[in-house]
Amino acid sequence: MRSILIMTILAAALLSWPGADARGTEVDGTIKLGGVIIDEQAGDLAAVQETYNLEEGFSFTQLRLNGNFDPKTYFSLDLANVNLRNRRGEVEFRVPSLLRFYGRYDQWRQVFDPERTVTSDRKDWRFGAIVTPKRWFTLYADYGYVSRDGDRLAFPAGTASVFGTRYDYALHTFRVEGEVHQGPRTFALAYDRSDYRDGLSEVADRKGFVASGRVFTPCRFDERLTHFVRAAYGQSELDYSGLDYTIQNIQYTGVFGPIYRVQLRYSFFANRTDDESTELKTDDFRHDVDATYFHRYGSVFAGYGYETNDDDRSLTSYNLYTVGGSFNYRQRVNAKIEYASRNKKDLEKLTLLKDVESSRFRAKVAVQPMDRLTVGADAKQRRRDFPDIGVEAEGLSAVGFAKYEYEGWGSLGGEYTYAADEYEDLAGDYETESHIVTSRVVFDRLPGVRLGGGLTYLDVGKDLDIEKSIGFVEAEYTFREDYHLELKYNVYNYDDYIILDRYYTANVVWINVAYDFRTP
Amino acid sequence: MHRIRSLPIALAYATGLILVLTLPRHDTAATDYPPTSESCVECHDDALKSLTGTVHAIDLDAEKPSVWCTSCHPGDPELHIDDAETNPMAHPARLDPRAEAAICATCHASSHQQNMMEWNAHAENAVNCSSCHLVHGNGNLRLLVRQEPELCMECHPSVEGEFSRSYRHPVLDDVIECSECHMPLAERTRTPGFRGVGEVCFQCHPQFRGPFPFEHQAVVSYSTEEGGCLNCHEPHGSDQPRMLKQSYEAPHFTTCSQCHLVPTHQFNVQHGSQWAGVACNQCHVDIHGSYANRYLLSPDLSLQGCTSWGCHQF
Repeated sequence: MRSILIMTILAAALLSWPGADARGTEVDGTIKLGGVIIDEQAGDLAAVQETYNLEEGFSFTQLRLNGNFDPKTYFSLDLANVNLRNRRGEVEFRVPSLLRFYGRYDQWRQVFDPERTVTSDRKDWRFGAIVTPKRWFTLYADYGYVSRDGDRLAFPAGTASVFGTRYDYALHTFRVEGEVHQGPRTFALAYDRSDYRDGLSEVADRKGFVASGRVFTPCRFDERLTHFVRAAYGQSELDYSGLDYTIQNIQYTGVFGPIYRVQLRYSFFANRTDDESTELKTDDFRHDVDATYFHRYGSVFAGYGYETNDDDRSLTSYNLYTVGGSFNYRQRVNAKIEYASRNKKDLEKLTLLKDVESSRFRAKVAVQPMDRLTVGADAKQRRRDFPDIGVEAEGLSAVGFAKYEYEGWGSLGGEYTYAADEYEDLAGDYETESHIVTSRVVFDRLPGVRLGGGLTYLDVGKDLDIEKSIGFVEAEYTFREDYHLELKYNVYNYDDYIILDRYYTANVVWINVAYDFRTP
Repeated sequence: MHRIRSLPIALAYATGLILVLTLPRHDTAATDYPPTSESCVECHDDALKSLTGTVHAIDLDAEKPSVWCTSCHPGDPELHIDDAETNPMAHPARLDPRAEAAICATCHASSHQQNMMEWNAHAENAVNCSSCHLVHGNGNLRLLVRQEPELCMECHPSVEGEFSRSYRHPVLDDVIECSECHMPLAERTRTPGFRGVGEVCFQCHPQFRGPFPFEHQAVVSYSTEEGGCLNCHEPHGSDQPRMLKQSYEAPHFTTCSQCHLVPTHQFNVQHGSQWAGVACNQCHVDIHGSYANRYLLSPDLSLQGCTSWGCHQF
């Protein structure tokens, strides 16, 4: 709970902001308290990730505060899902056009084994500020701290790992950036620093930095042309061995609109990675060009890219093609079709995978035949071939969805997804096929009452045989204007028909009473 | 085998050149002034109140306010005041994505904003700034229309199903937001030391970032569009443990055999029945990169003599 205490103290400190005018203060918020009732029948308590961090009993569900001291200052605090294992907090303070301060904390437990005894905890802190002392100058600062500690389960069970049976690491990151802008022109410089400490292995400790800059500006001589330049230099070094890699890169993008409704774009990217450990200097160059024609009813586009990757031992080149179009009609019809391919040529046949041919096709359409109804479909097919090593991978997914909204009554919506993946290599193959249905209904016709329900159902077949479902019904009743009674019932079911004892069923009930408050 | 001898020097030249070529010829900043906002609120006072406490709050008393009505609603105020119907002011939400982005970019000069003005998947699909950000009457963080992930899933409905699979990132649990992974890819300035797709993953999984003295090629495939971590893992959700794309089970271990077909390894007949069908990482323990062995092998094998003589003497 120390983290929540820190967030609260921070919030109190910000509330005493000297610019705050008590006479103009307006505060509103919500406090939500309740409880959770859980009934589980399980052979594997880790089977359904959605439930393993729920805590039965009393719960401090949420504290939300929004405040305006006057039109020039704003404050918010949101603490949610605070229990023994997890908690989340967010705090923000803004003085528009001058300062934005933000802080965030997340703690999350990960469960690995069927008994929920092998667990690890992640803690994620983030603080930052954006200061705009002058209209043309903005300063950003951001600090992040991510840590993980706890037990680790070997995978598959019984195998060894020098990573050990525990986690214990922390990553500190810091970024500062100054940005100067005038109208559409921007120039920015940034410095990033990171420090990684592994409590279990000092050989993994490392630190690094990246210095970078970017320029975004219309061309001086022709404002139909916009330049965008980014560049970075960085290093990451292992403390123990002194091994490092350095990265230097530069990117240029030019966007040109020679005539109305036509846009041409050229992009160049050069990156050098000098990796002491592999003793490879890898140079990566990319050139991309594309053209788009915009029409009031949509657009068509086509592009080509060429890339080389040169790492001393091998030289590979890539050809990329993309073509497609979109169609929009008065917000009633939205459709898009796109095909893209990327072919790798291993010129010296020295890389592990040698030549690779990959392609992606996508088509989607969403139609709103009347104001309240939206229906649509989306289909994707992806294919990767590795002809020299006899590997093929293919994936297909198709989605159909519909949503009906009737103002004052509620909404009804659902999606169906079919997905099939097939991997084949010279040693064996792997296939899965899944059907996923998600649906949701909301009914809010009755005054002060909101009812809802839904279902998520997955059926995974072929080399796997899994069924999973999550069903819910919920109700919210508002009384005496500011009080809300919330009830939610979820039923979770999971069955793996291949792995012994991997089944799970749970009935979970949440009861919460919320109170909305505000200054008069 | 071409090389740039000194990329920093080339970089400095290029940046300098661009700066010189792009120095503004004239001040392009808006030339509006506060009285216009005062005139606006005579009819649109609700709009003014709805901005209270947000970054767009208009200070009518300020001598030189940072934002005013016509910053976002360009047009001719004088004509509009005379006849509003015939001379409407622009409404950014009704503009096409690039036109709206150009208005927002007057103040919001971040990389995110600039990407909307370039070739961008959202812009391409008629998703403009206002599709995700609501300026008036909104107390949400970052002025989002709705919080993530609900906002994103309205247009990406299949993703909710992916996050319902057995092993998934806790996005539906409000622990991770969609933008934590997806925005940095669109905004490379946020990850300036771009080292492949995995750069995004290493923000939360730093133990796999390296540098390792002995890297796993699949992890550091710098230039591969879907390479790095995505060679083996399905980031939204998977039905396989550790969010693997393929099976990691005997006898084939297709996660590994997709790239590594090693004749003497399949079924491990050389080791007899004792080692038949053992998992690859029983020996190749450090699959993300090793501090000890170029074949990512366990140092224990050396103690057992496996790599000191005979079959595996490398």
